[in-house]
Amino acid sequence: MRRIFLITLTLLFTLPVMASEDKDKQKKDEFAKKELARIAEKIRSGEIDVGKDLSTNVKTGRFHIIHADKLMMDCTNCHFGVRYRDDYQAVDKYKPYPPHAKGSYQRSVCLGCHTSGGIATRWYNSSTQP
Amino acid sequence: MTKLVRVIDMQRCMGCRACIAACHVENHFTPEAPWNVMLEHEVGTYPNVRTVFATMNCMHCEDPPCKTVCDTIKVYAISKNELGVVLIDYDKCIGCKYCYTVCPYGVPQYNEKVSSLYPDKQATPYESIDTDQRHPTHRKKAGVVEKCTFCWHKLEKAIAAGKTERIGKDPEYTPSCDLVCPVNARLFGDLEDSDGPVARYIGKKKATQLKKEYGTRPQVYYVTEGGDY
Repeated sequence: MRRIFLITLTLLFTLPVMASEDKDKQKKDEFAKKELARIAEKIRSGEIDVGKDLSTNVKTGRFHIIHADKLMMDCTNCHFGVRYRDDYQAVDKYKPYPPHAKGSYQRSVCLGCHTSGGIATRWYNSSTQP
Repeated sequence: MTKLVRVIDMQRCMGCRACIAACHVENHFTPEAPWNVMLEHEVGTYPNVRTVFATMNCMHCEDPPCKTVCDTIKVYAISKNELGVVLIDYDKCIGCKYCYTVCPYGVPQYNEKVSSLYPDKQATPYESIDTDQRHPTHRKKAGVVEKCTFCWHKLEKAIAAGKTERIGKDPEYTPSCDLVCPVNARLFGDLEDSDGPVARYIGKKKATQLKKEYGTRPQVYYVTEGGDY
C-alpha cells in the first residue's frame, strides 16, 4: 500500500515537469525551424550573400557556405562517422573541419529539408506532410 | 508512350561483372568515372553465409533530383528526353558536383582527369578513337560529371530507324550491359507494354525501386530478397 502511495506521489510531481520540458523542447524546435526557414528564404532571395562559386569547395563553394556557414549545420550532421580532433575545444578558436570528412556523407540527411513541404529548395518529390 | 525500364534480379546475379566490362567497352568509361559499379555485401551467419551483389547504374528517375538541382542553378546541363533517359551535356556541365551530391544512388561521377585504363602502357584501341568520331555521350572531358546513358547511342538508332518497339529485343537497340548477363539477371524494355517481358517480370518477382522514400521514381527495378516494400 505504502509503495503504491509513493509511486503515485512521485508520478504526481514528475509528470508535470516532464510535460513542461517536452513543451519547452517543442517550442525550441519550432523556433529553430522557423529561423532556418527565414534564413533559407533570405538566401534564395539573395539578401544573404553566399558567393557565386557553384561548387562543393569547402572554403569558397556556395554549397558549404550555405549549409555550414549560414545555416550553421555541423559537419557531422552530414558527414556521419567523422570526428573532430580531440583537442579542438582546447586549442582552436573556431570549430575546424574534421580531418577525413571529405567525401562520405549521408544523403538521407538532405531529405529532412529538401522534400516537398520542407523549408529548403525541393530536390526530392517525397513529402514531409503526413 | 514508351517508358523504358531495366530490371536487375539480385537473386540471380552472381557478381561476375560482365555487365561492367560490357559498359566499359561500349561507353569507354574511364577508371576515374565508372558508369556501372558493383556493390556487394555478405549476409547470414557463418557457416551459412553468402554474398549479395547489386550493380548500380543510373536509375533514370522520372523525377530526377540531379536535373532539378541543375535547372535550379540555371546550368541546364541535364535533360530527360522522350524515352525517359536522363542525359548530361558535357559542354554545358560546369563540374559543380551538385548533381553528384543530391543523387540518392551516388550515380553521377566526377571525371577529374581523363586517365588511361593502363597508365603505364599504350592507350587501348577504344581509348585511341578521336573525339570527333565518338558519340557526344562518349566525348570524354576532364572536370565534368558523367553517368550511364542507358546506351543512348543505341536507342537513338532505334528512333532513327523507327523501331522503338524493338528496344530490349534487338541487340543493336539494347544497352550492352543487358545483353551480356550469363544468368539472365538483367532485362530491359518498355514498361508500358503490359504484356511485355519487363512488366511481367516486375509483377511476377515483385521487383522494386530502390530508396523509394526520396520520391524520385527510378526507372530501374531490383528483385531483392524481401520483394517490394
